[in-house]
Amino acid sequence: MATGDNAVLTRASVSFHTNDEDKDDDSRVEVTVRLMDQTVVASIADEFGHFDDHSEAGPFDLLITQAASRGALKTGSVAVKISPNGNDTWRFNFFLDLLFDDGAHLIARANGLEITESRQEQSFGIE
Amino acid sequence: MPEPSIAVPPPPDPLLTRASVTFHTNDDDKDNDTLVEVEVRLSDQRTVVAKLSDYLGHFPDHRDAGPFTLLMVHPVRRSQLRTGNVNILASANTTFPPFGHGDTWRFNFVVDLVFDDGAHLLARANGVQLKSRGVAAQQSFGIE
Repeated sequence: MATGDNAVLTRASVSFHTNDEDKDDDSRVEVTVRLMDQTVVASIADEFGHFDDHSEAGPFDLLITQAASRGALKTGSVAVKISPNGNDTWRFNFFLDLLFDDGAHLIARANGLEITESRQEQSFGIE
Repeated sequence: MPEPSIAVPPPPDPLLTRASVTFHTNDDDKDNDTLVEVEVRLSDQRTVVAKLSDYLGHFPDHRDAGPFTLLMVHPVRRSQLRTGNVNILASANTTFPPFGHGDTWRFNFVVDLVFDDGAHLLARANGVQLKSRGVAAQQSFGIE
């Protein structure tokens, strides 16, 4: 088992809390974790169904596509993107949990987000 | 002749440097005069590592509150906290007899424990309900 900055990512999952504007059942959501050089480490893309107002969704496990250490991910980012079928405004909070093989985590989170057909993607740092 | 053994340093065991809690209130608010206590404890249930005790004001339905930083009261390393727990208590105002007006609070929370290597341990749960009427209500949660 590696430790410290050498610990290896073993699981990445994302949870959503929808606030006062739901996500349509046919709006596709993409969550992508990248290193600083934009290498994709983990991702998920799915319609997930309808996210009702004031409800929880997830955690959803991302597919890990590139081995990455905690040290490398400390300067990484996560992008949340919505591709609606027509119009959709979704207001939500998200919590990304990156778990490493030493049992410790990095996270990314934000509250009060709004993404729409005209502003489809937002990116956040990993802490 | 056997080769000399090379001492392998023990893996780092970082120190806790910050503890904070964030709440999301669901469909039942927290009254402004309901006291909230959050304690991070070791597995012995006696050693309090970090704590918060405050009214924190009114938490309306469907709102986020925090993060609130806990007061660190006992230095610990990550390995000690893996088997620790987080206790959340709500104590409604008891001014009016016999049990005060009481308060039911429904919420989600995340306790974020940050160590000096920048990594985290977490405790979190959704759909928690604390119903305080006359006596404080509390629940404990594991740390992951």
